[in-house]
Amino acid sequence: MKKQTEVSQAIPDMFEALKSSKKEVWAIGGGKGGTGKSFIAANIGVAMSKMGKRVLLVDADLGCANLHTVLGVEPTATLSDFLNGKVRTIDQILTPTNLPNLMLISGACDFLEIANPKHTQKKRLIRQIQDLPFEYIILDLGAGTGFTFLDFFLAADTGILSVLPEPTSIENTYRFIKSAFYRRFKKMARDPAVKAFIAAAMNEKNELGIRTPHDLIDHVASLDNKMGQKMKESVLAFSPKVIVNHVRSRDDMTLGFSMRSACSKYFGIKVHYVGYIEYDDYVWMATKKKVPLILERPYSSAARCLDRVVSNLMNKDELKLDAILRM
Amino acid sequence: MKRVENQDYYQILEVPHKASWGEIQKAYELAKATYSKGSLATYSLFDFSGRGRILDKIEEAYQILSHPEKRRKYDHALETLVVELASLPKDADALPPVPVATPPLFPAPTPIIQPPARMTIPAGENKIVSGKTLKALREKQGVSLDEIAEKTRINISYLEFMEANSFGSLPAPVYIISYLKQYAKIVALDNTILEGYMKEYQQWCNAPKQRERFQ
Repeated sequence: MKKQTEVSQAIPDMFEALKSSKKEVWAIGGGKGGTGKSFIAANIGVAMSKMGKRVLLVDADLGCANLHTVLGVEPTATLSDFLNGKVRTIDQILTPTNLPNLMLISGACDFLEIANPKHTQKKRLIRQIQDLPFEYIILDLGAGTGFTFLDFFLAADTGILSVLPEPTSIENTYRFIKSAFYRRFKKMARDPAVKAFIAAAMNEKNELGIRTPHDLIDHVASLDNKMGQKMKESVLAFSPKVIVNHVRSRDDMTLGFSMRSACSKYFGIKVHYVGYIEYDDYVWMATKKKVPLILERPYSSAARCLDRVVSNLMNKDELKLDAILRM
Repeated sequence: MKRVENQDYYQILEVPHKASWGEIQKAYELAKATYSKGSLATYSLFDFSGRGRILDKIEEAYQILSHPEKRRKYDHALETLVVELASLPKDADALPPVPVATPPLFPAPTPIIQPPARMTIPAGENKIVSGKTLKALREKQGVSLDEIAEKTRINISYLEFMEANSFGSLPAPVYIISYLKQYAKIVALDNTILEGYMKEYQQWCNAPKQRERFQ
């Protein structure tokens, strides 16, 4: 493991090399633990850094940080140190990994108190992260569903949701999407009456007869036509990517397509099904060893599934229904 | 995106306009499974009546799009609608309704749909088939090289060479024939096409040429 001094030298070199590079921020979220977000975040990071991309993994799952464990590294300073002012600049909390192109910003290792950062702290954090010379910044949002996590998810270039082929996980995923939606709408609305209206509509059993986002937009448009139009446009811009994890059957594989369809007809949003990950015993074996699966078992079925996911994410592509049905 | 009530049949089945019969079939099966009552994918989203409305629309769309003649008429109606829309003043409220064939009050018995016949060369045409033709036929069926490679485990480079007529880069004829057969099975091509391609290969073999030297 590299020492802190080696890291401080590596950063200026990277700055020089990456003056005008493009940068993408990916956020992995979706509520409820156990769906594989940290596993996916870490291994996507590893896979891309092996391809030569400079990747920063950020464990934003404050209070439940696990990325450092999945990667098998010991962070010297963490996000909480930055948020409570113990360190001033963000490069002091970059933890190196065994891969030269991959760095980690670890979440708080201990206190759950820091799990609710102030608004100014969040802004400082985001600004400093965006200045770092990485091509890809991957945020593990963990199971958070509070508005901090929703905001990070909405602000990212690519929002990724991991879902298990179980009704509980699916329910949580739709709830997360609904919350993200309504959060965006509420932030867009200027008129307090419209804001209150949206807040009321978020309650499923509301008296207003609003059952779906379509209903909501129509009602808002009747109050304020311009706002209704803006909301329609923001819907078009929202296209989360879905990964189905713990796949054991072909029905599990096609779940992603069904969810894509359901989101289209219910929310009116375009979800991209970027891939599935087969259930694989090598996954928990690697986790126990604290080595990322991609390094430990690169030819295991889960690792190959991950490679396909990474390829689709980088190429802005998705799975084809034909490919599954012909298997 | 429009509400389900305002979507045309292609949007309801989520297929492109040029979708093949096979694609429509698969989309229909997926849609039925997605919106049926016990479906995992739509758990917690739709209430009973919403689900019922969508299923009705899916059935309606399938009855039209899976029948070539009805589909043709529907496509024509859609085109006419597009022309009308283009000439309308910009006013969202003036949208004419999406054309639908009058659905029967009670569901019609499901017609027996024949899968498309294997593709073949019309009799009397030039019997030689080039790689370009293979590629064109494959694309017509809506099959990608990736799929063939995945399904058959044939190296995708060889498939590309086959379609590009790069015979020099292909392995021995016995392999080529095997690859062709597997390729033909997935793309639904019949034997006349395989024979035509091998004739092209034969021509290349017989032609005098410099053999490339490999380091």
